[in-house]
Amino acid sequence: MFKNIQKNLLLKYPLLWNTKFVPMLLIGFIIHILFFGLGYIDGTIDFSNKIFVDIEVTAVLFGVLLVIIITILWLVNYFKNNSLKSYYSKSKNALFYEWVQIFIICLLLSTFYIPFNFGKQLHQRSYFSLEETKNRCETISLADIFIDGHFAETEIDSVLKTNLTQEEIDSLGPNLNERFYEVNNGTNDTNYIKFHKNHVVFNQKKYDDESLLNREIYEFSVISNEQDSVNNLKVKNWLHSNNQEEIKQLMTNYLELIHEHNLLTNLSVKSWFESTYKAPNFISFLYIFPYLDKTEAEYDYNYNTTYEKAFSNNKKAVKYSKYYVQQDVLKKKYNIVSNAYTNSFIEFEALLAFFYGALVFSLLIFSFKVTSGKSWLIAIVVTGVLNIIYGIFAAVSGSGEIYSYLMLFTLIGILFYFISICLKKRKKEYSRITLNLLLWSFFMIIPIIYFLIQEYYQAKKYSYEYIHNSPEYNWLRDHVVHMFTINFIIAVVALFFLSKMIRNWKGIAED
Amino acid sequence: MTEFEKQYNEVKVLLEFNDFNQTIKRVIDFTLDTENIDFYKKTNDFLNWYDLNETRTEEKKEKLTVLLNELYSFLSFKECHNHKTIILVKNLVKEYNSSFKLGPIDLDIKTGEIIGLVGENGNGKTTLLRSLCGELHPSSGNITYHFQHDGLYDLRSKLVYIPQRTDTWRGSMYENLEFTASCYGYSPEENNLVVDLVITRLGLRKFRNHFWNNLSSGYKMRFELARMLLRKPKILLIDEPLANLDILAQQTILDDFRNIANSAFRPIAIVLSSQQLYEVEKTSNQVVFLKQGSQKNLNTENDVTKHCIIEFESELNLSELKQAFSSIEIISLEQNGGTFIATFPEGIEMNDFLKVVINQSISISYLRNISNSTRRFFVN
Repeated sequence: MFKNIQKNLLLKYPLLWNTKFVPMLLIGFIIHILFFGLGYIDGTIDFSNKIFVDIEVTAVLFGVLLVIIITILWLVNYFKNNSLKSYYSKSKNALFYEWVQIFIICLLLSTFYIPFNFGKQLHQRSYFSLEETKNRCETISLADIFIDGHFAETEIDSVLKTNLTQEEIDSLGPNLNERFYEVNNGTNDTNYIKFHKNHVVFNQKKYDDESLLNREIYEFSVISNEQDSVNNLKVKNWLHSNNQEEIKQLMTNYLELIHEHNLLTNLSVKSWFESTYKAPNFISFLYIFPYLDKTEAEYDYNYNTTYEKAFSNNKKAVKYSKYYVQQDVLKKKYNIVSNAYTNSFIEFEALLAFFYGALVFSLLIFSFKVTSGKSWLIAIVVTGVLNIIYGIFAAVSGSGEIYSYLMLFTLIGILFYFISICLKKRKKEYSRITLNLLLWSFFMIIPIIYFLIQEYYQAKKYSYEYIHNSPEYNWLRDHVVHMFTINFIIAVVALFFLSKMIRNWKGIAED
Repeated sequence: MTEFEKQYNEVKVLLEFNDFNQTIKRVIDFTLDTENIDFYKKTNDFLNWYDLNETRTEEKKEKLTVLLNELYSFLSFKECHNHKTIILVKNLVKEYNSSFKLGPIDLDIKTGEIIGLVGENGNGKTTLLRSLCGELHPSSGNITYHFQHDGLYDLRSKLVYIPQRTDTWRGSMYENLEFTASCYGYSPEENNLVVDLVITRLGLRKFRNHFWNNLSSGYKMRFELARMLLRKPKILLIDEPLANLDILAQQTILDDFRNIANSAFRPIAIVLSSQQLYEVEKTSNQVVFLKQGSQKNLNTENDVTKHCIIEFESELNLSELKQAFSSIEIISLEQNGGTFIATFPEGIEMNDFLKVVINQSISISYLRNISNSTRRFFVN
């Protein structure tokens, strides 16, 4: 089939035949479908935590290897014919079309991770509908209060200014009235010790800071912060108003989830309720182990650190009971589903990075095609040498900006040299090498200028204010992505004109 | 009689004498002249039939006659191309780091002409070819191209330069030629027909699926010529095309050059460099001799000096020969290897030389009058 397609292209569209565009497009799509499938497999969630499917690293490595092999084979075939080198008749836009084809091929080959991620997320989302996911996450989230949820931070009681260092303050730990404190670093060797209250007030009633009422629900990304606050209040209200039915219903729903996913627990609604529901002050409740084996859901939850703190503070003996429930596993699995819904399939920044990657890759190939292997290699060496020299300059001067300025002036110099060669129409001289350098870097001119301006505004502000940046600096920093997006469009437009210049340049005498 | 009618009559004679190879080549030339897909098909049909029936002389002759007549009927209504100047070179000078200087060169290159560049090695033949094809920029003087072109790239796409060492190409020969034809706007229907005609024309039919490293240097050169034919250039600049060819192949390729250049409908100019003086002189309309970069034009030099110069080989030694030729006025007698060059003043002719040879019973194994040949420029 490929042969017939290629034969037809050879007779009708020689450029498409030469670039092997159609076969590469097909290969690209096949790779994308393959990686969509691999991603779909990687997106498998075993809620019972018995099967672990994690092929992401393997798949990415396999993808990189596959792309390298395909690229080499493609380039060998693509470089077989060079109509520009042979001075074959070519339309004025032919070189631009050729670059567009190279770029599309490079983009297809380098973006195999996108369908992988898409397949993965699609599979992860497919377990439950968004509504169902929200409901289940809410149950798990609320139930965490009755298992091993972390305690909320209480209000600040007082602040002590001291010259003691962090270490010295920590060594005083037991003498700090067993109150929760935190140390804020100030300037001029001054530290601030913030003491927190040892109670919370809810509906005009005081509760101990480590009472059940001060525990927080677990947060899933699929549930909004507002909804989390409402849910938190809802449980506290149940506790405060002694609404046992709702709590029992929550526990029932939760245990149904545990059983549905074949997770383990030795809790029943009754035993759980009795060991944790200690009205009216909710102090002497029992802690439920959120796991069967501590490593079963190795996950860097914030709550675990708080949990560690409960031990380290040694404020009260932690009252872990004989009960356990695989809450960590449940949280881990539902976090995956929740994140699959809240994370976009691909971030715009990542997409832009892929586009720039493909641009660089395509320009490396394009420059090789329009100049010569020898000048291409010399240009690589020149790039390396220039970077070393400019790096030394920057290091000696102690300013990274020097490097950017030198690079900018070099790029502008190269641009003017190439234009002058094209206008004079006499000899190519060193323009074969400079054309390579120009093609590899012309799209960096705007970003370098942008960052230099940004640095200028930052430096200006530094002179009289340390922390706050100028509005100009903030604006520039906030619009980096926009700048790169516009720069990409400008680069493509510039390449359109540059490719016409390259065609004319090719006609200039060698010597 | 038009140029085409002359050529048609020549082909008819070739066919009468059953010179099928030459006839087929000329029929292909005429077919390409038609630029008509029906004729491409007809000639290709014949060539396919010919592949299987090479020994059937009568049938072959009959088919060729029919085809030739059809081509004649078609082409006799087509307007012949008038030969005109396409490149004018005025005082061209090219200097290399002050160690070598080519020129000044003056040339008037017309379509349908073959210009032979001769001279010793390192005297500027390749430099002149590269200057003409736009690869080298003149240090002074100018080259004017008298045909339409849009920019330097477009100009160079119309000038085909084939260097002595051709570039390596990859893939099969046929595929490369299909690509060339496709780039030069042949329609998909025409493409393979024209490529088949061109490869047959240049004797590459058997090698269509060969790769670069499977071809001898002679066939690589033929491939370059096939590619050139598909590119329909205004001028072909070719460096030492005879260098790697045997004597028979040299004759064939020079015949091909003559026919390609002198096409009645799509003539091109050919500038070739070679060391094969006599072969080039036979074929070329103009011969340019380059000595240390300077141009010596044969006709101009002849206007100045009218000496009779004879190149010959004999078993006698130099002193015996000097003795033998003492009866006629002789300016010089030089020996170069096994060859003698005798220069006689104006008034003495070849016949006078022959009379002495016969009278003195001088044994001669080779003899050539080089008075009108650039060969004499090689004599010290």
